[in-house]
Amino acid sequence: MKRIIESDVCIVGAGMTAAMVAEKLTDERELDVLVVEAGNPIFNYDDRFELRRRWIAYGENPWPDDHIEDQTPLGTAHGFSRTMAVGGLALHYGGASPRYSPEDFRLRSLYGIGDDWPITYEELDPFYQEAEERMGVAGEQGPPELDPRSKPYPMPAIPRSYNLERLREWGESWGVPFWTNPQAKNTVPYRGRGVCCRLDTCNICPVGARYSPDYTFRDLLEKGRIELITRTLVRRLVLAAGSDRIGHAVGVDRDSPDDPMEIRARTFVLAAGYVWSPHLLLLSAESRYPEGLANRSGLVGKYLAGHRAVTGYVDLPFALYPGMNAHNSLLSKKFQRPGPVDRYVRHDFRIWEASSGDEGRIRDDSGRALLGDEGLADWRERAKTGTARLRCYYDVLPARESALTLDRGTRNRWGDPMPRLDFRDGEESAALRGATEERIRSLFEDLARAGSGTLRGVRASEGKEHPGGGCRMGDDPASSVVDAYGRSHDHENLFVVGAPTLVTAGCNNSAPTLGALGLLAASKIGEEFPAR
Amino acid sequence: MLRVTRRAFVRLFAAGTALLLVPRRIWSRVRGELDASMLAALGEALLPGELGAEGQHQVAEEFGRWVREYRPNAELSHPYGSAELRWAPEDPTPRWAAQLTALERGAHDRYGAPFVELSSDRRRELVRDQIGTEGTDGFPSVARSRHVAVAFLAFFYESPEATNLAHGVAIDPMSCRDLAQAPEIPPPLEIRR
Repeated sequence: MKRIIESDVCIVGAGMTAAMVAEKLTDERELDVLVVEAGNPIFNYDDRFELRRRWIAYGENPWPDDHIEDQTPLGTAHGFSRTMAVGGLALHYGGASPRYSPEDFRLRSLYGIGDDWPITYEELDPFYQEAEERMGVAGEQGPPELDPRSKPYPMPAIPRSYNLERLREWGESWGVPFWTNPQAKNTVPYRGRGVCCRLDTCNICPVGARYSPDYTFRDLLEKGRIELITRTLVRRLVLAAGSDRIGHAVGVDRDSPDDPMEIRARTFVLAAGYVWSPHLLLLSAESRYPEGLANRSGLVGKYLAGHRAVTGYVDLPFALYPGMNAHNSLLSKKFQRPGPVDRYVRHDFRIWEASSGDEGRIRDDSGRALLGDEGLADWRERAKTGTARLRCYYDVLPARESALTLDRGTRNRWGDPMPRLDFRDGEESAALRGATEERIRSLFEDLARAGSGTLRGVRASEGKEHPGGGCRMGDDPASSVVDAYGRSHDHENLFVVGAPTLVTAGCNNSAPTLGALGLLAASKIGEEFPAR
Repeated sequence: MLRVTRRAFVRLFAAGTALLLVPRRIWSRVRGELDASMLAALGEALLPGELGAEGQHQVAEEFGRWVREYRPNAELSHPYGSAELRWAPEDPTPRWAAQLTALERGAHDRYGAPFVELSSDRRRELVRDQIGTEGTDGFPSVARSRHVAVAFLAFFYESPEATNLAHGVAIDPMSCRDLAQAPEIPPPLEIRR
């Protein structure tokens, strides 16, 4: 029997951006919001201490069954997470919440490479602020010229541990300012959630200090603001007859796959991440749009973006006490905000306490097993000095051919071809890769030398982190998929929000940027509905 | 499909029922056990003496509990930004139990006495002979340790207690600690065992 579900706004996906959109829309407008999630609902608040214990003891998934077995991309899926559940990838989120810098939005204007975004940092600033307030971000204001923002963070920063303060003094001996990386973790009771108590397992925070979208959905459900349908995969968007508007979505109930499901709405919002949103548009090809919906530009699935990391360790000339609050780090945006440059190299710079090389071990350097008192004596000797971890994310401009395509040879149980990812650097970034990584290594060496330390273990990641793209935003319908609000150039009642719309992936974590872009989109979507 | 309306959501929470449709993964099924007296004897020989016999035995008991509660083939965490799904290794208990038996047999063959009656030096000698070169590249994870003695050492040296002992202060990693105390050097360690 065919089931028909109707709403004003249908949001596909239940991750962070979806949570922001749903909450803002229902805070400000009178409308029915339906959220459709392919994965499971995970509102298991009573179990989280025990799940955390088992993760620590055995490495078990603290979010069990947060994925769909045969729903995964192929190819260079670096940076892709399997999580499909209410809360999305942010269930595993560590909480890091830096903003992009103003330069990220104006690369063509400032450096003559890549593309400008159709929105500036200054225009996005109020939505950044709103995202930080909705998520609950604790942060320390950096030097204003490096860390511009129009209002204070909603919560005071997580205090620097003894380790981090020692590392700040050490880092600044190099002449570079460092401050703490903002975190979506409560330093005071906030929106009914607890305060961080340094459990240091931020991928599952049993006290609720670290923001997770499931809390937003829980609150919206308790208030009766939304309807949430889970375990339902949206497989196609279908145009209304004789129109370019989206008429309905075709879903499959994973528990009753033989019963057709039709989801009707005035507005559709794809909030399913950089893989599944463009994937759905490509799957929705029909006779009038044989290359997929929203794809007159031919750019759906293209310009997949992400940054690379260069990591190194420094043996310090002083002791630290590893484990005081290992997730908290120092940040500098000095190298993220260069003036005019001969070669385009931009990156953040972060420092953590680390125990690499200072932890317990079973054998000494000669290979002899350390048993009884020997193991502890050996560890104590090595713990007399500490270790710092350094890491830079550097900007990589994507090639047009950095793409998600449909792999028709690999299908899920419902017969839908799975996506294949092929990340490629843009020409400028490919040419600069070696020089960029060498430049960062050189900075690591300078810092280590300035602080009387010894650099070791430098390595660059191969894959892309914090990926996005696939439905890039822009003003020109010929060179972009959606506008600055995420509205499809081709279908007026279709929005794509969050990671797919990124023009580039910047040089730091993306959570507040995705949230801000979602809120910006919600401000436009809401215009069609009466105010509350 | 689960259609979550406000009424359903509130009713489930009011009843104290977690709205989790996936199977519960918190198991307490009793698995195979390792000989407790052998584990205690290993603890006396392999762990630092300043834990004291009581502390060494407590670590041995906790390791025994770890073994009992181990779940072969459990879904492991898939790291942030990784497409890979991972599963726990098969149950190590039979292999580890056989290794304890081998230690006991070695004690009789070499010294004509049970393992638990040997001096710590002699127990360590037998262990060294059995573990071969395992651990040359650092501690393996407990579950992936080939030899029970290496697993036991990994279990202890990955613990917050071991970190505290090594640094001589109560860092208490991964325990609930007041944020306001973070800027202070951790307090001196009290031997709690």
